[in-house]
Amino acid sequence: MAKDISTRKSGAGAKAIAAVTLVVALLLTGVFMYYGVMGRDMDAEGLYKLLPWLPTPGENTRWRQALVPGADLGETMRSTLTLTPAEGETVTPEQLEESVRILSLRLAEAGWAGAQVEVADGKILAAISASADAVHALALLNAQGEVAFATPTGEKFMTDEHIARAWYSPAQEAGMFALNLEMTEEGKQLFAEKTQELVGQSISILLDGQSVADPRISQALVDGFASVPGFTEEQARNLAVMLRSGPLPLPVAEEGHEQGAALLGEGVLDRLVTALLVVVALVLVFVIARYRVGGLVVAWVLALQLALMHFFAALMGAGYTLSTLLAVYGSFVLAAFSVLLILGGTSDDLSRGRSVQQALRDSYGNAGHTSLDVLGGLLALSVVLIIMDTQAIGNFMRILGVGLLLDLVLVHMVLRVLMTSTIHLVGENTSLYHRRGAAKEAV
Amino acid sequence: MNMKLNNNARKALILSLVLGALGLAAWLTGLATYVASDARMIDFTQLWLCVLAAVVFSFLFGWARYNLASGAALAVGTAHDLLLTWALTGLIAIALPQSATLPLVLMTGVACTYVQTLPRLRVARQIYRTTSLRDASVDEMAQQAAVSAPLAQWVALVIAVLFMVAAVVSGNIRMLASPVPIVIALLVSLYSARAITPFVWSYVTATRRPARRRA
Repeated sequence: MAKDISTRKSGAGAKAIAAVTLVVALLLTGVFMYYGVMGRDMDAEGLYKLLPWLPTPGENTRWRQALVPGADLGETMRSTLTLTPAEGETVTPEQLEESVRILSLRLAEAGWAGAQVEVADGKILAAISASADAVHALALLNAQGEVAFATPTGEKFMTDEHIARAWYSPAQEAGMFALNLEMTEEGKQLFAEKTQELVGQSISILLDGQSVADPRISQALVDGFASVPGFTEEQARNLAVMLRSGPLPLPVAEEGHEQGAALLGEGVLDRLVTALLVVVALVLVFVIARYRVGGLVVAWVLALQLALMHFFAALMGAGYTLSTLLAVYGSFVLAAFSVLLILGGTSDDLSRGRSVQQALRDSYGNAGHTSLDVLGGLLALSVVLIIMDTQAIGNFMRILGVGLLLDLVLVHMVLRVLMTSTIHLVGENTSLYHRRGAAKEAV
Repeated sequence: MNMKLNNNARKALILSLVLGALGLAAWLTGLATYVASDARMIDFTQLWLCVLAAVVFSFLFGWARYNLASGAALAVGTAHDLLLTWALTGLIAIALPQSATLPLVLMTGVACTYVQTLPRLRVARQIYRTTSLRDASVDEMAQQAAVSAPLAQWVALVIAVLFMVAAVVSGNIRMLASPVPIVIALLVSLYSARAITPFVWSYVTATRRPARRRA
């Protein structure tokens, strides 16, 4: 008898803990979702402005500041460029093709995924996202990109051909950036000679014949590396990108630019957001209909996964592009696969007459391990590919990797806690979790 | 014990090789080309290095997590799916050039392979551990694993296709063609997981365990 009272007490305690857990989790999810859709301006209190980050169709377009649409899905700025050969010469198709290749590379290296550069009627047409950074993108498109190093007397002693690697990083001065250079073997010797000669004087870095920096040489630089501070982030990035892509075969001039529709169709963004929301709603309705209370918890976790993925994509500055969507919804499908695998295992065990708790535990032990293998394996592979590639594939894998990590945490920790709490709270009645079990019980 | 690769698996591999060769020819002859801008924005040497890394990683992962046979099967599955997806994309691009877009989409094929192949390899290993070789040959175990498919795999496939449909109905012709490589990757991974990888597992298992085969 005494044992019964103790069991009842511990049962009531577990129920209370489960209720508190669920209420807290629900509140946190609600607040997170609310800010995801509405955002919050906290400037008055001196805090950072929180932009909404969950894509919604219609008039509220503030989320597009957090997840900036790329040229493929958002409005574009279309620029018409012409190559300007020397007098009496004409532009060859090879020069046009080479220019398109270099300009595409520049846009990709600057993170302008989804942009498009093509040749039409002997001109170059570039379409980039019409966001605030477009000014800097135009600076990348409109420069021939010939970089040279010159002595104070104007004698050029090195060109971009002597640079093996260029990148930029924050400088010691707050808000400023440094352009970092690694020279080729020949460049290393040239640079060492000239910096030995010019100690105490300045050299000039020229972009298309114009000086963009005049760093002072305090000592000879003989190791083949140089770091030039004093740039804004955009200046340093553009110079690094142009050094990596190389110069255009001819100088380029902009004929003009205008606003245009998204590359994937006018008004594609609103339609796509609506269509994706409809599919997500269908998935959630399916899991709720099939797994009832368990499905409700799974729907909650899946909705949270999608909200968190958009949040992290916005935090990573991924932009709203096809590539980002592939990573976001790819990780959503993998999360759905994992939870359905676990609920499927639970359902099978319930059919065999096991208790809900036992079935869930066993399912995490069997189907859960399959899900761990798939998600863990893909996460480890993502890390390998992120290390191997710093461009498009690496960027894509970074977002997918975050999604996989999120899936692991949500499916194997959050879902388990929420399911266990739900079982404690609403009881172990099989019919609440499994339709076939209910039929069996009825029989 | 049959020491040869299962007949159907061999035929499936030959079919894949033929399709792969046709696709390769389509790319090499220029009949198929990536949509210009997308191709210029990706370093193809890097792409092929990433494909190679995915295959090597799959082998090591399968080997470390399960055993040599699973590692070999997963590596073959990954290589098969990535290359066949690329080849079929090339063949479809002859008729629908806009479908050859975003070369990085190729890497999503690895996710499809893992979702389809790993559960089947786990099932195969489980059957192998719990079934006497007097009751079933390794090949029969592989066949059982090949046809095993939890509902989750089918639902994930349907969800992925629904997302593709959502994309297709939202945009222009380029958007209509963009999901083609992903749909190919989904189908190719399903095909290899049912027709090829379990039998690569059974082939390696049969050749690697002579003591058990004599039992």
